[in-house]
Amino acid sequence: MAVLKVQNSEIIRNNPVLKSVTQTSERIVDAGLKADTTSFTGRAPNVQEVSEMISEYTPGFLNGMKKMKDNISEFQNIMINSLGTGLIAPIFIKWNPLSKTDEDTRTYTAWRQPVSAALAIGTQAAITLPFAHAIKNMAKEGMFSEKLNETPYKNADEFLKNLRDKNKIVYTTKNLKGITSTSNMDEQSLNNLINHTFDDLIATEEKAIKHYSEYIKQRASQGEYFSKNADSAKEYFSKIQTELKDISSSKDARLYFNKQIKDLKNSNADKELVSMVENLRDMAAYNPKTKPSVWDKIFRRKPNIENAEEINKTIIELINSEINKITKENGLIDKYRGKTAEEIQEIAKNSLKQEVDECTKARDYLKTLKENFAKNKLTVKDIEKNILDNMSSNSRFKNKEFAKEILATLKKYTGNNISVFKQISGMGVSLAMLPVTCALLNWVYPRFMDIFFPGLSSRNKAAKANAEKGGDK
Amino acid sequence: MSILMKGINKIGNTSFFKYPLKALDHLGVVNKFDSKAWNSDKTQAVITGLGIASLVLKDGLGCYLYVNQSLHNKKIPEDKRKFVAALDLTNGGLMIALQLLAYATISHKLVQSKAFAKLFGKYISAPAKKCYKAIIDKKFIQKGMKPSTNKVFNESVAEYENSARKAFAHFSSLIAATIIGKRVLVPFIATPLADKAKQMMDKNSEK
Repeated sequence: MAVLKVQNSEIIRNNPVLKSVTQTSERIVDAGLKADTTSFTGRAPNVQEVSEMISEYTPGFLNGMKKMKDNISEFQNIMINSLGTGLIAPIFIKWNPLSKTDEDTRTYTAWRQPVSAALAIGTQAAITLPFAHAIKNMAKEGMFSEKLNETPYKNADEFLKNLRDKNKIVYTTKNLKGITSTSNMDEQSLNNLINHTFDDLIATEEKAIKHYSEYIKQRASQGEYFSKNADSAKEYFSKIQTELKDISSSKDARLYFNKQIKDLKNSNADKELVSMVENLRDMAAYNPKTKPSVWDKIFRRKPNIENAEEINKTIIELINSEINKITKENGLIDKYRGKTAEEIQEIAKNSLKQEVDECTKARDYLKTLKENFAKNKLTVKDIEKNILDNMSSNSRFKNKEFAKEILATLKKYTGNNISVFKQISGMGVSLAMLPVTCALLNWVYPRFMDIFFPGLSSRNKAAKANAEKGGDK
Repeated sequence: MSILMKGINKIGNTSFFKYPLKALDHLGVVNKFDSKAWNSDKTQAVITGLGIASLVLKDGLGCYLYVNQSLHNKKIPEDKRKFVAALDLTNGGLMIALQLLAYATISHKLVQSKAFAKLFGKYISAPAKKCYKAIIDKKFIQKGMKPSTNKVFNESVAEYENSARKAFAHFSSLIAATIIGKRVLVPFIATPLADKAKQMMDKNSEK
């Protein structure tokens, strides 16, 4: 489970889109929740601790689905597939109302499915799965060539040390006899890897800029609505605030907002207003448990039911504070009240100006540094020093280490190479196994029917025919 | 790891599996990062392409082999042999068609993303995340820790969302394509079609 979490966080780190969304939404969430970490003692939780906590405080069915996927093994997957072939498919062959073929023939044919499913389980467990495991182990032990070799980052600290001190990536290769040797990644490959790392970082910034511009557009549309409907909006949200005083649970808040949304849609209200109410409704997405759910019973979890009241209070407080941001003096409504289209655009743009500026500066700086790297043959150490000297005040570079980014890129590319290799070898294995499984089915199936269903098979018929012939005589 | 998976792992560690893989590696079937590196989109596109090629090749060849062997299998009663082969033929053809259809519909990135947003979007929207953060931060403070930093929270929540999306993709494809499509729809349509295919086979053999 922990391994899976680490893998997932690597996926995010390695995926420029997810990474950009993460970094962008960081500021968006920031705008509403400025957590003052200075007034608290102790350490801040890490990704794993937060992930575990998120699983605890998000809707049960999402967690249930996630947990089922996380815990399902390759073999269980094969079993599900085979059970479908063996148990469901025969029903639609034997009892098919559209078929005109006699029932005996359909029954005889239907039995081919479970026999085929049983053989599939056997061959996949004996051949397909061991191949997949062999690839995994060989890549880990360095038994493949460099493009499929996972040894450089077996020890992340050593990888970073080699890269920073010697500007090298070291591979350990093991032959089939178990003899190991070491080699360095060639200069051209290392240069390309660094260039790709730059490209990924630049792409992350570009995605973040695009993301912010979409947020600015959203804020401007909201502003346009407030500029024209300031009084009615204030009245509407104040009414909501008053009515919310009687609501004390997240569930009731969600029901209340659902009704509001329905009423707004029925009265053809402006879609901006509907969307704002939908956002308030979504804040009540989590319904704290007062008793263990079905999922808890299935997965033997112990939910924190004693915290329900406190969580409900937090959610309602947060919804109220969101509405306050809209209705308070000099809040969102007042900010946009009576403004012209140009002024609205300006206000929306300014609200995320610092974020967009930082991303733009980071992108331009990375582009220049990439050129500088090619021209002056900078080492990884030089690049890291350059970033530290020039970009330490830019939040986009906070906690960002270039050597670690190279490690992530190498992991991603090697992982992708392995995935493609797996797919190709899997295809080869399946094709090679086809004549074998086919011949096996043709051998087993009629014999299985002879033994277990002699009434449907030829053996019985032949015996019957012989008996009839004998009788005639 | 279960005993069974341990056994499978052990089998995979034998030379029988390692030699052919090593040979395949020497053929250089995947590129390095010296020309055009694999990015995630490119990898996914290649895997999808290979998956389609694989199913057409595998199911196509499988269909041919099964039909051929069934038709010539003297152990299957003669009156049923042609129907068994006809069902192999219609089943194989429909299976390829259905899987191609699934690739273009239920398993498609766009469809997946829209279906996930429709079903679960509100539970992972920005306002919902804001609430999750407030709730979990209170818990951390109660434990004597600092609230989560925005960077760590967003990374964790993106991780959660990513694995929830993967789980949804897995189960929606499993239910729609593998169980309902391949095991319900295909045999349901393939069986009456096999009647027709058998009639054609009968006509051909009469000629």
